[in-house]
Amino acid sequence: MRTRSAADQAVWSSGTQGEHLRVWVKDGGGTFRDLTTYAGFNAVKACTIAERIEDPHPTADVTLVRQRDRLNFAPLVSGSAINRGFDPFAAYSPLVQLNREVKIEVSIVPADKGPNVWMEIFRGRIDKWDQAGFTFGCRGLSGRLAQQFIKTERVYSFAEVSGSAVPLLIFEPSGTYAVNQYILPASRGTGDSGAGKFYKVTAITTGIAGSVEPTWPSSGSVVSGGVTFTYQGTTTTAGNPVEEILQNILDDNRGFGDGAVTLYTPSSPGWMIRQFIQRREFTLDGIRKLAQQIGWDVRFKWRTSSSQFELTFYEPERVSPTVNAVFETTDYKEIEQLSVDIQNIRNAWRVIYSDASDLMPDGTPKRKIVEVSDVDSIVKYGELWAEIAEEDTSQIDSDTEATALANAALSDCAEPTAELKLKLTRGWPHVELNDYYGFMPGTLPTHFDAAQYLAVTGYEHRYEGGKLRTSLELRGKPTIGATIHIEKATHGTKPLKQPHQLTDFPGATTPAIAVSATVGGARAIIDYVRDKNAHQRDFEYHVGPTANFDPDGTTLEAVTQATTLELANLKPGQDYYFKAVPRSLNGVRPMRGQPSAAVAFTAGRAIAAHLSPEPDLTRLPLNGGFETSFDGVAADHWKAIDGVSDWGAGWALISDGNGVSGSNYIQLDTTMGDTAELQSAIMQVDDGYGVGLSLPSVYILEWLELADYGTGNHYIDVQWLDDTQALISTDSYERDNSAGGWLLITTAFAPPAGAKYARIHIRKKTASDNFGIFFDQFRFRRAQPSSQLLFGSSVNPNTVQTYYLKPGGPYAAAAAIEPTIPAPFTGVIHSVSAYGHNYGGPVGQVQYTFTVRVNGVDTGIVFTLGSTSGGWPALGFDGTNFALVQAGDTISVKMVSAIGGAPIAPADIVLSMTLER
Amino acid sequence: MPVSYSYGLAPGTSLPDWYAINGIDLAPIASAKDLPQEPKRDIGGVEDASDGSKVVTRIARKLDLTFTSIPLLSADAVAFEGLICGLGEHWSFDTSLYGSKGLGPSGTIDAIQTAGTPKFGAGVLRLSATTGTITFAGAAQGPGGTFRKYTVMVWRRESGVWHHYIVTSSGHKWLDGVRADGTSTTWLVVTAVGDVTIVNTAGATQDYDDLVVLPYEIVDYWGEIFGVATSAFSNLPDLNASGLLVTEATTRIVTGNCTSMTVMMARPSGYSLQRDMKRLSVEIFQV
Repeated sequence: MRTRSAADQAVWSSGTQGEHLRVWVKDGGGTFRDLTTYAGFNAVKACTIAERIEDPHPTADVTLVRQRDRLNFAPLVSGSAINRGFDPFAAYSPLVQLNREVKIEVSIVPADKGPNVWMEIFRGRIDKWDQAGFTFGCRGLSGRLAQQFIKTERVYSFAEVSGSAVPLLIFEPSGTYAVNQYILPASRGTGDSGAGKFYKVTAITTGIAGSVEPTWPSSGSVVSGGVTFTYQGTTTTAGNPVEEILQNILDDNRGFGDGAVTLYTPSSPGWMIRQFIQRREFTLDGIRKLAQQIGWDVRFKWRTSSSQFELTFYEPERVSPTVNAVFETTDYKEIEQLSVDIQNIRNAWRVIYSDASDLMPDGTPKRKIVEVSDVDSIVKYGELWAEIAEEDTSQIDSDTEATALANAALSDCAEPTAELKLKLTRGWPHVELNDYYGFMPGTLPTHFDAAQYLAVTGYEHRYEGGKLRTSLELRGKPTIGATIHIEKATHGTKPLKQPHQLTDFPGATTPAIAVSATVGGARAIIDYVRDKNAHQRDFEYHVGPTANFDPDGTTLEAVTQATTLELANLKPGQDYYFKAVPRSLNGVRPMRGQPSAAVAFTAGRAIAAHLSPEPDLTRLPLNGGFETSFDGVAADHWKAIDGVSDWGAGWALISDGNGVSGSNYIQLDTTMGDTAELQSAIMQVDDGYGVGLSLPSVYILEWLELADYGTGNHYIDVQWLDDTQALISTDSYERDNSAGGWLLITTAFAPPAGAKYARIHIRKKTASDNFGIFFDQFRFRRAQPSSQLLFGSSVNPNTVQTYYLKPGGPYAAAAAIEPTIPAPFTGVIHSVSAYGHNYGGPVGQVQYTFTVRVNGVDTGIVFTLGSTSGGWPALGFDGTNFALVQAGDTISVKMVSAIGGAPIAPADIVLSMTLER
Repeated sequence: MPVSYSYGLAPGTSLPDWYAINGIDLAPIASAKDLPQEPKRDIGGVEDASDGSKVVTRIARKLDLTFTSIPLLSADAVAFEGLICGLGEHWSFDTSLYGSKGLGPSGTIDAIQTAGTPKFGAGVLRLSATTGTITFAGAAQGPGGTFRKYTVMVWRRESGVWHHYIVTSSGHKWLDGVRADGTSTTWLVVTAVGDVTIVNTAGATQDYDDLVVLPYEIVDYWGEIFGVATSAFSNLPDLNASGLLVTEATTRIVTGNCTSMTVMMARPSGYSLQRDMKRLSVEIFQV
């Protein structure tokens, strides 16, 4: 209760009193203006001040006479003299404005007397105004604390400078810092450079730290980005008194324009708080939670010695409270409420806590319980049990503290006695929460017949019409509010998080990362054991070209919680360097720790062992015998491209052992229509011109096919592709499906100029055809020179005639002898050339035309020789056309001479023919 | 002394004031037929305690006054109603350029409020030489912003001596309480919309004090009273009450209201039959 002067007591004793009230508001210039006189009239119509134990601060609501003519308190009336400080030349600055400081004073005097000594009963700030009806509402001084949001998490009770606790900011990469801030490394796990140390920002240039955490020195300074951090000392574990930490929190989180708030602790609880991180919340919530953990209260209370409201950290006088005042029946009006409700009674309490001084082998504190109960209350009301389970990280970590908490809760909740609500007949401005008052019964008892002693849980002063009336709400003994304990019991306490900590990679001598090569990549394994204090979330995996590369977005491979990562798409055989960066979230802000040392590795190559032994790798196309299938449905490297008759539908891979090459072969089921197409992998080809020759290459395609059922034709195509694998042209070979039995089909194609790749394409000719056919053993190869046939003859050019050249030499007789291609041979006649030679003169004017014949039929290989004068070598050749031959075929050359010019002597002709296979 | 009305509660001329408002005695217009009432009003209260006993928390008792006037000439009724209701505005210039109802200057040139040597209170309006001008827009407008008639009263310091000027909309003027319609008041301008401007074209600074602008014309005999006042005009709408009924040592601050006017025909002494005579019902409250 506020101290009462002798005069106050005398007035109260008189049984009558006069009551005056005035309201002051600070104007824009910082001068308090008395609203009862400032405008030349008393503008205060009514004023209500109320405070309840559950609420952190009192409130005041003031109703004003808005205006008298042009003298207007309304904040939006810019022309009002009140809003210009009665200076027409001053800037518009409303007097009644949000956040303006307000104080309310009362003067209690003998009846019929004017105000004498004023007593301040409220100080706060305007929180709202309403021009309709003209009221404004205020909260007490802690209203500002309720709106100061803690913008940054800080670690408390973890470091001291000159014996005083200092708050620590956890290092954040790319964070912004100011000189004199104390910094706690995020990377401070066992073996980390930041373990057990803290730093101070001693200089800044840009004020922005580097993007990764620096290596923390054991003395001196380190520069990270534009910030210099200087070693201060080692962190502490003993903790600091709670009031010191409360003051730290108040100092660290002042909003713009807020004055300092100094905490007043009449007597210290002697409670040491250990390291914790103050999470982001309103300052008032933060400090109240800390205070309430041991059942203490923190609120603005009037301090007589300094004559002002001060933020006071105090314990309610729970044991044998002093009776502050006793009210006679003439002092209070009719009782409005006198009741008991079981709802807020708890008379048996259990507190579960983690004992910091009794640890399990792995360092985890043992969970213990403290139980207290009030026997008298249990006998009266029955057992009403409640439990508070403190978090692992709670500051309640000893038997003493847990017992104190349990007893506070028990004291506040076990015995309400009664809840009393009444109005006093006179204003009682001296009331404070937790005052312990007695109420005397009347001569004829109405509600009780013995004095009732109860503690104030709420009060309201209402001033109107020259009267101050005080309403009181009272219950049991002094408390911090029974519901506050019961809410904790119901919902559990909010955890206080451990200081944020990242674990990095211990030094180079203890490799924490193993990197092994995989095909075209590598596998990185981080040997990481989670530190229970660390807030590891995931790792950044970086691969760079040099050992000192900077891990940034260009080198990032993955961010994952996994400690193993497969790195792919690296250049086989190339040297690379690997780094990992630990990261986590501090609140919502990403944190990056110190990057690991670079680990060198070489991206792996595939070795022969990776290849399946089943396909014939010596021949093209790949898997031409259909021997391998990854999924058992599709033949590897063969693609069904129409999108309708896919593998397993239009095309079937058959593995019944009836194939020719190995056991597999394929079937084309034509019921899928003519879009059923199958395509091989591409194969590299050489058109012949690209290697400086003027001759095209020839490619031979062989395969086996077996008609299954039905009739119809199909095509075997060779698609020629250019260097960009774009289609140049297609050569087709049409097959009739009517033949039976496995047939070896051979055909040959010459690539067009510019062809660099080819692929095989199988398709049906006509959509309506309905047949089945099996294929096996596709081979595609460039024809290579195999043998050379020489033809020769002595011819008489003087007549037009046809010669049939025979092999054997240049001087063989002219006759139609046709050589037979020996078995086994399948190939092409390619590159046919002739040399002319005469007996008596130049080949000269006679031109000879040569046509190669197979089995007596002309082929497309035609060339001429002649018209070149002189002896050897008159030359002619055909390198473009070719003819397919196989064993048993006969080959001959038809030579036709043409007469031109003067007759000449007979000539010898030598003709060379290259067979390729 | 009242000259127009000598037939109310105070028919004589030598009696002290009965209940004067800003020096204008209301006795001549108070009707003896409906006796004036002087109700008492408690500030604070009396509460019933839980045992039924009465607890007094009174801080003051206020003395109010209600009466009914005799029939008044229409023009005089308007003047008395305006006086009692506290119409108009008073500028003390003690601390600012704002009037008692909050009207500030709408335009100034070299015009300031300063301590000076005030006629009353703690400050004066000072207009600089040659250029000083101050305008109070709408100062002479009545309630609701209508402008009909006016009376402007101000103290003007000339050669170290304060002189009191009264100017009405019909051209009646008083200098130091003496009717002097020929007095030059070119330095005082009231426009057709009720803006009041004071200008100083003289070669020296000019001080003014205790400006009163009323949205009605005063009854002529008031000029002789206001012009020789020894204290400042009241801070309208508050009024200064004095007289026999005011028993406090100091002036009582009151505020008044005319709750109704009764219109009647009458023939006052010396007049023909007047069909627009009015009786006022007056309430005066102690502030």
